[in-house]
Amino acid sequence: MQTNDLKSGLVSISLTLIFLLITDILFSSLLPLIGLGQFRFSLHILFILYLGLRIRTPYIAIFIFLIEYFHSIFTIEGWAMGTVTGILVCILISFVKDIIHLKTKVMTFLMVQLFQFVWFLIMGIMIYLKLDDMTYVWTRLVNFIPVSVIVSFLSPFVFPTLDRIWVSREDQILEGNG
Amino acid sequence: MLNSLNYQKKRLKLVLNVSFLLFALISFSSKKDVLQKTTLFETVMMETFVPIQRGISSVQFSIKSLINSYIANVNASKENVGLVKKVQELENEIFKLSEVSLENDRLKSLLEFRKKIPYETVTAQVVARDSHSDYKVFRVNKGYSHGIRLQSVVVTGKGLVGYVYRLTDHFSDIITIVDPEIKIDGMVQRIRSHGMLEGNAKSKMNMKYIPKNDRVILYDQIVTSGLGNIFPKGLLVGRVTKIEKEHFGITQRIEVTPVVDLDKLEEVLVLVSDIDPVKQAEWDVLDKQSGAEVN
Repeated sequence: MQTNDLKSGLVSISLTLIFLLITDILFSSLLPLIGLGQFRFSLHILFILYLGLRIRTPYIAIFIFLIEYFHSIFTIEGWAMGTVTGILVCILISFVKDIIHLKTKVMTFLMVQLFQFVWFLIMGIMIYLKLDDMTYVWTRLVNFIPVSVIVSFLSPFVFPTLDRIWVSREDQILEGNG
Repeated sequence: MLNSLNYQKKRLKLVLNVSFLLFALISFSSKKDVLQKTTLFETVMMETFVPIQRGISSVQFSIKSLINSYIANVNASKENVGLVKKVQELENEIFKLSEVSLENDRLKSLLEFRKKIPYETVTAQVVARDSHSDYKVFRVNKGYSHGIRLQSVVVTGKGLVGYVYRLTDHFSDIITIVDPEIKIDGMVQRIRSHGMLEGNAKSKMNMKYIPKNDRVILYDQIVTSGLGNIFPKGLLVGRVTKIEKEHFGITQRIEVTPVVDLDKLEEVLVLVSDIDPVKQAEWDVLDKQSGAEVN
């Protein structure tokens, strides 16, 4: 049932957004305090990759938009670029989803790292198109590499938490089978 | 029946994906500058969550002190626990006092600077930074209710910091001069040459369009020219730290290092003088036009 599908999805996305808000508040305030100001990061990419890799739902575009919109409260980047990138990455993932598994931590790490690079590639193209300046994209790449590795390392620990939020309702969500 | 249901779901997914992609792309491409008017929802969210960020910031010294205490105590023998504790307490006291003293110095210099400039100012404290380190943006604990408006200029006693690009009643987001999205019309103070300052994401700025024949030298001071309707004239921005002249071309490449250490800012001054009526009229016309375009 589509209504149930969306309803259970909304409960899960609400919990995910609370998780996102907590991590964003902590990372934007705490990391600079402990001397890691150069490596501030957010888990929004990880949450979107989780949706792409683990959840089959026709409403994924809405969920990506919601994650990016809430995340935009903490960043000047806004929601639009992340939404475009997130949807495109999830479309790409949907083509290869059936041939990859995330049963081991190493595999989870590698897949998250791989799709983070895809994410950066798409975002880099968008930034270049807007600013007409490759220097800025390279500078971001230098910062992106260590941050993406940290995010990938976190993925085997964050995914099980998100599993608890989403997979308990997976039966309903999987009905979408998109 | 099942196939038909799956087909419907796939079609729904396609429609949603394409709709949100287009919506986001239109929003992304129509964003001409960094100014963002906050929606009611964003205001509520920011007003709710920023105090938490501020709370976390306020425990900065406690955390530092805790970590220092832990490290200092790892190798201490049991016999000296009492003594070490006493010393620690005294050290913490001195640390706190020295922090207070440093804060006093900073505030004093801000106060002196405040007397020199012909603008009303609001002193604000940095409570959080942008969640991406790629963006040179931070959040302060003063907002609309304190007289701050969009594009209010932010400075310290040393020089220019940036301007307000988003605000709520009690908090403001400041975009700094080293952010690549910001462009400032600057001037080499000594020879009065104009150029365009742009952030280069390395916490420095590039100054463009200075003719090759203009004799810029290292450590020349760069100030705002007053053009562009945002920054008042004569605010110190930075100093020249690199000059590259190539055989071809008519301009030179100049790198400017800000005088303000933007990574270590704790307090800032926001200029809140009454808005120029001409500028306000321009804003009103622009608002009307954008409203008409939307409609």
